[in-house]
This record gives sequence, C-alpha cells and structure tokens, in this order.
Amino acid sequence: MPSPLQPDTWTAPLYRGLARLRGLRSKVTAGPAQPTAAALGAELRRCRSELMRFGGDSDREFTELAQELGRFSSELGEVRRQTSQLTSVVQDRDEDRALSAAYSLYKSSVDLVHASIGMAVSEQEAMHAVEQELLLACAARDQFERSDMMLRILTLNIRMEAVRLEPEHQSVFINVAANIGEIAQKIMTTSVGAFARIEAIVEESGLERSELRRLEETLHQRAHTSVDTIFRELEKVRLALEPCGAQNQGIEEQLAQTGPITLGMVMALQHQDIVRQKLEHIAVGFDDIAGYIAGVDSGRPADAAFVHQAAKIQRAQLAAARAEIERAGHEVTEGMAQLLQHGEGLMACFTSMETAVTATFRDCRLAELYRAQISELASVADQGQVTNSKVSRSVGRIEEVVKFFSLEIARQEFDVKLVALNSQVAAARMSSAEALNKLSEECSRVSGQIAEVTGTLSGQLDKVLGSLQGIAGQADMFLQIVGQEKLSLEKGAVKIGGLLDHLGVQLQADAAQASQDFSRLFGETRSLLERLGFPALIDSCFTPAEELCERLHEITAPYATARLEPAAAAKLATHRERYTMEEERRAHAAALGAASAASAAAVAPSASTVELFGFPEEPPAAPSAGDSAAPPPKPPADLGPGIELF
Amino acid sequence: MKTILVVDDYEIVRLYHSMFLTQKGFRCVPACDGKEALTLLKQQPVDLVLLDMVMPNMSGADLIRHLRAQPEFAHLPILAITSEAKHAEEQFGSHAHNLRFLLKPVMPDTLIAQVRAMLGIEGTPTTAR
Repeated sequence: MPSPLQPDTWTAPLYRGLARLRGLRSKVTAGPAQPTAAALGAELRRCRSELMRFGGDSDREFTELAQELGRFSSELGEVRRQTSQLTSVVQDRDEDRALSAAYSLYKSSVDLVHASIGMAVSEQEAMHAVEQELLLACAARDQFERSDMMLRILTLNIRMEAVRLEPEHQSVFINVAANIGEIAQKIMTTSVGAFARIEAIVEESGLERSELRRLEETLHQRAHTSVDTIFRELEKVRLALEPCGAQNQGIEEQLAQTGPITLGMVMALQHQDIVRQKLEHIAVGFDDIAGYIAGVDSGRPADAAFVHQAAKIQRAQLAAARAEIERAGHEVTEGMAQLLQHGEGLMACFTSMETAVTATFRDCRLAELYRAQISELASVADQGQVTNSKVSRSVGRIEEVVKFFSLEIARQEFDVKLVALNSQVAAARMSSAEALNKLSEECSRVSGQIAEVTGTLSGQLDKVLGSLQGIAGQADMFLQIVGQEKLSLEKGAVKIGGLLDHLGVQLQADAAQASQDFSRLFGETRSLLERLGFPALIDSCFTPAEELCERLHEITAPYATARLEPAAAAKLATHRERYTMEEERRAHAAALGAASAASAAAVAPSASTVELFGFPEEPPAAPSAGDSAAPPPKPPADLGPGIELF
Repeated sequence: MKTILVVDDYEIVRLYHSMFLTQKGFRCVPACDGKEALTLLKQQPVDLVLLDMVMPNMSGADLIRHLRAQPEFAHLPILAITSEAKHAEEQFGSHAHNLRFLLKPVMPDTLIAQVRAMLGIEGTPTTAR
C-alpha cells in the first residue's frame, strides 16, 4: 500500500487549516490501514445507489401522498359543504326554511282563528243589539191595540147612529161600520201575527246566539290548546336544534382550519422534487469522485485534492438535501399529526351532533302534529265561519219578517185611509150630512193615528233593516275571506308538514353522512401517516453517504492545497455552481410562481442555518494553456447567502 | 271619541279589530307594520296602540322599544296581542307601564275590556249572552 501523500507547501495559509486537522491526520497516518480506492469506490457506488433509491422511493411516496392529500382535500371540501348545508338547515337559513315557514303559517292560522272567532262573536253582539231594537219596536203593538180598540168603538158608534137613521140611510152607515170593522180585524190579525213572529224570531235568535256563544268559547279553548301545542312543539325542535347549529358551526370552523394544514403539507411535498434533483447531482458528484479516487491510491496530489474538495461539496449538498427532506418530512408528519388531532376533536363533534339531531327527531312527531293542529285551527276558523253563516241566516229570517211587516202595515194604513175617504164620499151623498161628517172625521182621526204608529214602526224597522244588512254584509265579507284563507291555510299545512317531515329526515341523513364521511377520511389519514416510510429511510440512506464524504475529506486532507488540474477545477466549479441553494430556490420559485416561492422560502433552510465546513479553503487550479478561457472560480459571495464553501 | 291605532300585518285581523272597535264607538286608524305605525303616530294623536308582535319590516317588539325611547310616546298605552305572549312578556315584563299583553285568539269581550281599562273608560263591555 502506498504511503500517504505529503501536502504541498506552496500555500502557507492552508497549513493553518491543516493544523486543525493535525490530530485527525495523525490518526489517519497512525491509525488502522486506510481503505483502498477500490473499497472506497465500491462504497461510493453503494451510497450512490442508496441515495438514488431513496430519491425514487421518496418520489413515489410523496407522489402517492400528494395524490392522497389532493383526494383528502377534495373529500374534506365535500364534508365541509355537507356541514355547511347542515348548519344552514339547522339554523333555518336554507332554501326551504321549514321552521320559519312553519312559524309563519302558525301565526297566520292563529290570526285567522282570532279574527274568525272575534268576528263571529262581534256579529252576535250586533245581532243582540238588533234583537233589542226589535223588541223595542214590538212595543208598538200596544199602540196598534189602542187603535184597534178605537176602531171597534167607532164601529159601534156608527152602528148605533145607523139605528137612529131612516131605513134608506142605514145601509150606508152599516157598510162603513162593516168596512172599518173588517180593517180593524185585519190590522189586529196582521200586527198580532207579525209581532208574535218577530218575538219568536228574536227569542229563537237569542237562543241560537247563546249556543253560538258557547260554541265560540269552546272553539276559543280548542284554538288555545292547538296554539299551545304547535308552539310548544316548534319551540322544542327549535331549541333542540340551537346547540346543533352552534356545534355545527364549530365543526365548520375546525374544518376550515384543516385547509391551511393540508396546503402546507402539499407545499412541503414539493421539496421532495428539489431533493430528488439534488440527489441526482450528488450522484454525478459521486461519479466524479469515483473517477479520481484511483489517483488517491496512486499518490496523485491533484486527484487527492479534487477528492478532498469534491467530498466536501457533496457532504455539504447531502447535508442541505437531508435538511430539506427532513424539514419537508417533518412538515408532512406534523401536518398529518395536526390533522389527526383536529380529527379527534371533529370526530367527537360529528358524533355528538349526529346524536343530538337523531335525539331531536327520533320521537319527533312535529310534522304530523303540525298538520293535525293547523287542521284543527282551520276547523276552528271554519266553525267560526259556520257560526257566521248562522248569524247570516238569522239576519235573513229577521229581515224577511221585518220587510213583510213593513209592507203589511203600509197596506193597512192605506186601507184605513181608503175607508175614511169612502166615508166622506158616502157622507157627501146623504141628506143627514152632519152625522156622516162626524163619522168621516172620526175615521180620519183614527186613520191618522194608525199612520203615525205605522210611520214610527216603519222607521224603527228600517233602522233594524239597515243594521241587519250591515251585519249581513260584514258576515258575507268575512265568510268569503275566511273561506279563502282557510283553503290557503290547509294547502300551506300540507306543504309545510312535508317540509318538516323532510327536515327531520334530511337533518338525520345529512348528519349521519357527514359524520360517516369524516370518520372514513379520519381513518384514511391515520393509515396514511402510519404508512409513511421515508422518515426511516432518510437516516439509512443519507448517514452512510455523509460519513463516506467526511472520511474521504479527512483522508485527503493532507492534499487540500494541492494544485488541481484545470478539468478537475472546472468540474468542482460546476458542482459548486450547480448546488448552490439559491439557484435551486430560484428555479423552484420560477416553477411554482410567486406564492409558491414565498412558501418555498419559508421552508427552505435559512442562510444562517446552512453550514458546510467552518474554514475557508480554496485550492488554486493549476495553470494551464486554457486557463484564460476557463471560467474563474466563483468568489464565495456568489455561492448564495449563508453558504460558505471555501 | 278615542282613537286607536290598529297595527297588524294580517289584513283580516286588521279589518276585524277596526270593525269591532268602530262598532264599540272608537275611531280606528289601521297600519300594516311598525314603520307605518310610526309614521301615523307622528301625523295624528292616538290614545292607544293595539299591536301585533310578529310583523315584517318593524316588529311589535321593535316598535315598543322605539316608542318607549321617545318622551312623547313613553306613556302611550299599548295593548299587544300576540300568539307568543310569554315570549313578549319575558322581553318586556308582564307589568310594564301602560303595556299589556294578550294571547291570541282573544275573545272580543276580553279585548274591549282591556282597551277600556287601559283608556280608563268606565263600565264593563256589553256582552251578548
């Protein structure tokens, strides 16, 4: 085995660096036998192969991870959409707004019942007033009776007068008396009958009204029961859904936090591509070292110097690549861990929300009850309508009697006037004019009295008729409105009942679906984290390669300052240039765009953290014919911030 | 003649209250929501507000708060009729000054008795029996 090469001494300052390696050199010189170039070459190939395998394996794993994360992100988006929809339904902000619609229809039905019962009772009160007026009008019966008495007295008087007359004049008196008697009889018969009928109708109307009043009170109670029931049930569901809504919102917020985590992971995954490229470059570097390793064995200082410098560069690049892949790996595993941590909390929320929704609707008969109670309210409103129509009928009957009576008394008044006129005509033809004139005057007086009574009565009856027509008009209008409203109420109850049915089913299904989907995603995330193999690979692939570089660097340390051949110097320069972190970062930024560049900068090692070797070491390249054409080595400042190779 | 502002978004109820109270000798001014009620209150003197609680634009509760915040309406009698009286009472208290709540549906005699009581009108309402 050749003895270790002695360092050139042309560059004094380099001895200072070498002095720092003195201990190591003495170990190298005095220690166990150095590995042969063949052994080092084999080791280089093995390390190279391991690094390339790592590049391939991690590439596959990261690609798979990226695909999984993409799918995860999209499915999480779906879960978020489901949760958001669920929140909208729970908080009654969805398109159907079932609970609001139910409350609204509930209010309309209560209003309808309120107005329907109120109007029915109010019309009954108006009817009561009409009845009072009719009873007041019936007081006119006394006046009719007095007029009848006077007519009868008049008839008697005429007959008595007739007895005192000559026989040829008696027939006129007797005829007048008979006419007056007949009219008196007719008036009595008509008025007694009419008053009796009015009184009967008033009594009947009063009785019916009392019954209606009792019915309205029952309806009122029924309405209150329905109102309470509907309101209680709606409130029960609303209150039960309140915490579900809050919980769902919490879920949404937590889910929103998973977005940046996933994005961070996806961004971190992209560093693997950079690392893979670095590893390819390192492989080239290893190939170059392998090309010069034989020269070390054969004591060529220039080759040893190349190996020395190249090993340092590759060691630095390995460290940078390792740091980058470890950081990316850390971000991915950390992100996964965060997702799992969120997932634990979310799973609990999903389960709790699903339980709450199921509990709310398990025994909920809201829709069924709602339909039944709205139908009950509609029926109450309908009953109000029925009582209204009874009032209308009652009004109609009274109106009919009053009209008949008004006509009848007007006719009687006319008849009385006619008899008085006839008496005057007959008197004019008679010799005993005085008696007949007196008779005629009596007839006129009675006729006037009857006219006055009938006039007053007609006025009263007209007023009653006016009131009755007002009541009938209101009742008819209400019947019409309530009828229409009742129909729309019933239609609304069917529709909203359906919405409430759907609400329960939809909420339970949505909650179960969201919970199930998230549970599956959670399981997949956990399994993905468990499957990640690259963190373990990093150590097994990078450490031997790094150690080998260090060993090569140490072994060739005595030749650190040896002059490099121009070709070797050019290769080293290429390696230095190629591997600067700044260039990688720029290339990456150009590929990913400004946003990605920012993220890349955040995850890339900071300048201050990159340390290659802690001492300046720049061996001069051997002068050659092509020196002037060869690119000069870059000054350290060109290597990128924080990277100090030499 | 006392004037009552009848505020209700439901036309039938507005119509019923107006007809009924007119029948009982009051002058009625109808309004379909809180906003219209406020406008009318600024235009004419009103002795009592008969108010529905659940209405669009401006609810009964909002109108009460608005009126009570203004000195000229701070003591205006308000009779609120609602299908959720408990909620309303919880909001304003069941014995708030010059503010009463009735739970729909209300029988007319109860309604008129409350109106009269709040307006300080003597006598019980005439009720057909």
